[in-house]
Parts: sequence; C-alpha cells; structure tokens
Amino acid sequence: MRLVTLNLLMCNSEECSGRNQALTLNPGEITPGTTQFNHDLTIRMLGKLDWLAFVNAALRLGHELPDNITEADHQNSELIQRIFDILFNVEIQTGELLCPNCNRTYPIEKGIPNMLPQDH
Amino acid sequence: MNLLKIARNIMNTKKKEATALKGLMKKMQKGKDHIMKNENFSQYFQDEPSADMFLLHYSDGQERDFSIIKSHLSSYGEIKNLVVIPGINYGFLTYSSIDSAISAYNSVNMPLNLLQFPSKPHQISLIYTPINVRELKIVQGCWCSLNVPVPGLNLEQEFITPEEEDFLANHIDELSWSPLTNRRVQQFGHDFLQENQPDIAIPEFFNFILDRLENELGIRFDQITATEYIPGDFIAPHLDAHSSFEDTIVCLSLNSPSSMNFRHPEGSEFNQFLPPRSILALTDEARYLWKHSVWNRKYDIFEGISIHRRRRISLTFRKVRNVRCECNFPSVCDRNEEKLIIEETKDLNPTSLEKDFVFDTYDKIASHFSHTRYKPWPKVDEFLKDQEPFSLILDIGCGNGKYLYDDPLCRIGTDRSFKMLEICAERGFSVFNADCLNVPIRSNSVDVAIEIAVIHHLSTSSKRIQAMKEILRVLVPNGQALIYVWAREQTERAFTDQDCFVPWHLNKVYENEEEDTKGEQSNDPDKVVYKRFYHVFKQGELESLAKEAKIDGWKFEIMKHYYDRSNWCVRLKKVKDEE
Ligand SMILES: [Zn+2]
Ligand SMILES: [Zn+2]
Repeated sequence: MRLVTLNLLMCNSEECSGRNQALTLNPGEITPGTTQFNHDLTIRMLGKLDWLAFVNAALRLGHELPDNITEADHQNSELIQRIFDILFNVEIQTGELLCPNCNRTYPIEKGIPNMLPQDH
Repeated sequence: MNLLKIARNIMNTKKKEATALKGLMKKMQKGKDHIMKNENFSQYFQDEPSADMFLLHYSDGQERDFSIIKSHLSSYGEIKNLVVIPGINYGFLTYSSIDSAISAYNSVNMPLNLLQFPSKPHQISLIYTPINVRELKIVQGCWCSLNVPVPGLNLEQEFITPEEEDFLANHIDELSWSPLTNRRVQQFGHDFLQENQPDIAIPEFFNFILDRLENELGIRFDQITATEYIPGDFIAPHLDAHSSFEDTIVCLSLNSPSSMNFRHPEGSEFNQFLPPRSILALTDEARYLWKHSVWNRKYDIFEGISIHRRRRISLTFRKVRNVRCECNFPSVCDRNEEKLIIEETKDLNPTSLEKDFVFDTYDKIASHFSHTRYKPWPKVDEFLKDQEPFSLILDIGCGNGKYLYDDPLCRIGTDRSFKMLEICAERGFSVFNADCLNVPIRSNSVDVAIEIAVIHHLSTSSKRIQAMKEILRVLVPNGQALIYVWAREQTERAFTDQDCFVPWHLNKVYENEEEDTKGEQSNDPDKVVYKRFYHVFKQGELESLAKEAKIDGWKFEIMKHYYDRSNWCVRLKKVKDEE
C-alpha cells in the first residue's frame, strides 16, 4: 500500500464515532518504489490530500514535512519531489493502522491493509 | 506497308503477352508462398495433371468474385469442389473429370485470359495438386451437410416461399432490435427473461407461420426470438434451458444460408447446413443433449462448394414449459437445480450463501487469475480514459486489477477477496481489503468510482442499495461512477429466477465470462466447476437502484444507461438532492 491510499482510508468499524478521521500508521516492513517523478501529478494530489494526515503519516516514516503548503511551495521542486517520493515510492508491506478514536487496529500484510469487519 | 503493320502488331502482342506472363509468374509465386505459409503439407504442387487444383484468384474472395470465378470455370466441365472464401487469396477447385481439369488449366493459365472482376479485370491461375480439398486448413470445421446424424434433428427445405421470406424479414426489420454482444435480437410472446412482466404480444404478421407450424408439428408456439446474424456474428455453444421450454424448438432461417454446429457431450460434432427458408426442428436428443452454436465464420462449405453468408435473420420458435422437465438426459437436465429463496432483510452482514458461493469461490479461483492476461472491457476502459488526467479512481471489486493497470498511481483498488488482492499487490497496485457495503474511504474523496460485476453478487436489495450508497458517499461532488451488473436478458442462458447459482467451469470462463481471460486451460474441464451466487438484473432495475440511493442531501444523476457484454450498465454523477 502507498501513502496516497492510506490518506483516503478511515475507520469503518460500526461502533466508531470517528469515521472520516485519519488512521495512525504503525509501519512494519517498508520497501522503496521506483516510480518516476511526476510534478503535475504531485501538484494535483496536493489538492486532494488530507494534508495534516499526510504530514503525520510521513512523520511515522521519518520524513518531516511543513504543516501547510502554499502556492509558492509548488515551485519548490526539492519539496515537491520529496512529497512525490513519500506518496508513491514508499510501499508499506506490513504494519498496522490504528483508529485514534475507537482504538481498533487494522493489520497490514503482504502490502494489503485488512479493513474487513473483524468478526467475519 | 500492310505486312509491316501486321508484323508490328504481332510483335506488340507478343511483347504484351511476355509482360503479362512475367507479371503473372510473380503473382503466382506470391500466391504459392501464401499457400505454403497457411497450409501444412509435405507436397503442395505437382506438374502432372490432376482433377484437384489450387486456385489463385488474386481477389478478396467476396461473393461477387466467387460468382465470376464459378461461371467462368463451369465452362470447362462439371465442378465438384470450388472454394473461394472471403479474405483469402487462394482457393481450391476440383473437376469431376481430369479432362475438364486439363482444358481449364491450359486455357485459364494462358496469358491475357482475363476474368471480369468488379475491382479490375484480371487473370487467375490454376496449379495441379496432390492434395484433397478436405485436408485444407481453410475448410476445417466448415464442411456441412443437410442430413447430419444427430438423433432428433430434422430439416425441412423451402418451408416458406421467397415472398413469405421477404414479408417476414421486412416486418421484423421495422421493429427495433436490441443489441447483444455478438448479434441483435427481438423477443416476442412470453418473455422468459422478465418474470411477472406482461407478455409482448406476438405481432399478427407471424400468424401464418405459427398456423403452418401447428399444422405440421401439432404445437402452437408461444415464444419467438428473432436473431440477426451479420457474417461473423456468432452464438456460443449452449443448450436451451430444459425447464424453460417444451421439447421441440424450431429454427427458421431467412435471407441467407448458414450452418449450425451440434456437439455431443462426449465430443462428436456435426455441422447442419441451413438453407434460407428452411426450418430445423430440434427434438429429443438434439434438443436436450447436443449443444448447438453458430460459429463466427463468414462462409460454409456445402457439397464441396463454398457458400458466403449474408445477413441472416433466424427465427426461433419455442413453447414455454409449465411442468417439470422429464427428459431422459438427467446428466444435463436442469430440473433438479435448487430454487433459491432469499429472504429480504435489513441485515447487512454476509450470509452463508454469500460466504460460500461468492467469497470462497473467488478466493478459490484467484490462483487461476494470477497469470492471466490483462484485458479490460473496452467500454469501461473508455470511461476511465475519458476522465480528467490525475483523477483519483477507486475500483470497488477490483479482482486481479485489470482496471488498475493503466495508471497505477491514481487508481486504487479494493476487493473482498484477499487472494485476488495479493495478485494486485504483486503487480504493484495499491489496494486494500474491504467489503463494498462498508468502504473504509473518507466521504467526498475520490473523483471516480467503478464497480464492475460486483453488485450482482449481493443477495438482498438492501445490500444492493447500500453498495450504491457507499459509492455515492465516497465520490466528490460531481464525481462520476460506472457500474456493471449481469443482465437477466441474455440469450446464451435462460434464467428461470433472478437469484441463482451459475456454475463456473474454468474452461468456460476462458471463453466468455466477465474475466475475459485466455490463460491456462484445464485439461479436464469437468474437474473444475465452481458455483457462484448471482442476482441477475432485470432491465431497468439498476437505474431504479441508482435512483433509490440517496445520502446526506446527495443523489445520483443517471448520465447514461446501456447494455454491454451481457451486462446492464449505468454511468452516474453525484449531484445535490434538491428535494
Ligand atoms: Zn474507529
Ligand atoms: Zn431435461
């Protein structure tokens, strides 16, 4: 799983009242990707991301990013390249996603987070 | 002076002949090369005369070319075999006597013996051969006859007059055709596809033919299917459902010859020739046991002569069955198929039916998809390519990821089957494991969603609506969705009920199932059969479902609905619900 996907995910437990809230990543094994940098794609993604959730997820992987991104930052090619790499060139193979609201955890195995209801 | 002119003329003619001969030799060599590339023999050609000859006609092999060739070659003697087929520049010719063959050979191969082809007058060539026409690759599987040894099969020629043929075809063409994947159809009378729907009245122009059939066979048919076959159209091998119709089924051919293939479960097969205006009655073994099909060829070989197919209208007459089938072929009979009774409930948890016949089935068959070819359906692909660049696309029920392939960065997949997702992950697609009734994706976050061949696996209407609501929820405002579900209206299969099990023979899957794969073939097809649960959709049902799904002031606008590859399809847009 890549971070762009993580950024879209939310807790889907029936009991949880914190739906639509970002999940916390506890990464296990990480592998690097080899996707070629695409500036336009990255800029377009900035408008679609939950930025704060992305910053937090990046931090869990050891990458520090600014708290907010301005138009001017779009010209900062070093930053945009870094965002691209975190979004698309980090493959989370194992680990866990945690809902900060209800504490439910979702395991990640073979690169696939399991978001199915747990009793089934 | 005069002599000089004559001499010059002779010389010019000789010159012309020599040039023509040179050109012809070149064309002939190309033709021979083509034969040797296409066919597979140890010896193709010979110098000593034979009644069998390869025929190089250097044309498209259309019906008009065939007629010109035939009328010319008939002048040398009685023709036994003549094969001139579309798209192949060589054919085959056999004369009843070797003398005719020799005189044809000597005359046709003379320089400047031109035939008046519509494209451009040109010469043809004949080459003696030791090969028998039946051994040719281009006629394999094309040989058909009027009387094939299938018990219960009966052909009657000239059942209607050419005037009646025109009358029927014209009336049918005035009505509207419904497109299927490989042909177009019209249904009349009892509509077995739409339960509880009023019958579509059989138009009066059919009355004379229904009367004639009743006189002859003692059966008043109450269901008619008209099918249009353009040359190249086909219908895959199938049995008409035993439980849906009575024993005798009749097929009337209009406007063009064709052939129908009959295949016994143990493998023997025959091609029944269908002349225009003939009826073919299928009873007993032919109706219950032998699968029938129309191959996607543009020609047939009948009595040694190639016959071009034209546009054909096939009329199938059936009588709806009201009692249980009691045929003598229990191994292929559907009389014991369980009738599924599904209780409508608000409970959205998976039932054992869904667990056993959907989730487990896909997990089991996943391994068969790990090496298969990636081949998206053209119309789904078109929809995806139509989206703004860098749109975030969510594929709900992504299976082995065939729609993620083109743009793995912006496309994200989810599926219920972990095994399917493993294939995606290995291919570098970003996916997560979830249920389509409870998608763990933030609301208003994806630009586009597709859900292809998924919702028909949900057993209750509350689940089907919930799946639609989830799509609506995750889309951004004005975001678009494309949904495909299996249609009840298919002529390959007759569904007695909307809720049913469909056996998944893995060899069959490679032919025409929604996975569209052409990968590994099981040697023993009977060994791998999985049952899947389906709720097949009636026409209009998917649109109603889309209208019913509303959430927090949002609803779907139906942008387009259509039929594609045995599926009902809708293209939707998330819009404000003003009501
Ligand atoms: Zn939660
Ligand atoms: Zn039966």
